[in-house]
Amino acid sequence: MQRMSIADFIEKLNEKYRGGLEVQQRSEKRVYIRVPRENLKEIARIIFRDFGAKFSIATGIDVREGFEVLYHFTFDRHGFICTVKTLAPREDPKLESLVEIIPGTTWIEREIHDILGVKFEGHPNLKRLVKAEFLAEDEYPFRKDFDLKKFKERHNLPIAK
Amino acid sequence: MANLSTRWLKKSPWVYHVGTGGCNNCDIEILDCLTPRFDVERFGIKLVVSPRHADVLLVSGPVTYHIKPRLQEVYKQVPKPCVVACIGACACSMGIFKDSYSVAGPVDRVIREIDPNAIFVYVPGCPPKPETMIMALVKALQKI
Repeated sequence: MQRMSIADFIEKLNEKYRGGLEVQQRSEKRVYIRVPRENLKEIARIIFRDFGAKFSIATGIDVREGFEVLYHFTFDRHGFICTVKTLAPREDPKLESLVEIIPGTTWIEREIHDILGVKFEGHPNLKRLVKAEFLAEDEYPFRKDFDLKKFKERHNLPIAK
Repeated sequence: MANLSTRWLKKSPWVYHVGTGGCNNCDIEILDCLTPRFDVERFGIKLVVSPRHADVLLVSGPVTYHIKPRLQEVYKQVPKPCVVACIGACACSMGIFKDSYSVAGPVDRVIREIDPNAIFVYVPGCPPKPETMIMALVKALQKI
């Protein structure tokens, strides 16, 4: 099987996906695609089902505009990684869950929901996974506005000097 | 090394390993102790599968809120007298996880809540060398 370069991949992706892509290539092995959240499911279906990429992991980041969730797909045979970036605005942090398409996202979406507070709609089991029991449902430790001092006072935890 | 076994190591300490939220770095070094290069089994140090068989509790990692009650439960099941070996900087003093939102405290603070007279050995390092761990266990045995 012939190796596909990132340029070929973007070309083929543009044929299948009509929405227009914002592509950012950082190196020969790494490409970032930014999509609006409405089209996340469609592009995940194309990359995962049609291209047969492997889902590696997802990342959640608190950025200025909101919460950015990055889905990393690896193309093992072709030797590069494609990251799909999508943004959930701060006022309304909702994304469509990819569990229907990629079962492997179940746990990582649960974890992102736990500590960053992005709501994944359509997720079958969005229960608490890693956060300790005494933390409230709306306390998200990975958000930038999380204040450690207030958090420790609220829960009567020792504050180290 | 030959002297250690004859002079000090009167007993065979059996160790039980508890991971309490570490990064697996110390766990890898603990496994390294069992490989042929260090081979702690020649001193009778053996990894066991139940805390009820153990003389020494090896704890690696800062103690998270999730694992805190479990660690205390495991400690209660170890026959006394026993030694708690805190492996690595995180277990000794929380290391870089100081002030974390999810870490309850270093191992000694958590275990002293239920047993103020517990015996501790501290093996700092990130990760500590296998030689250091062997030496720590030998020193611990002198205390029992």
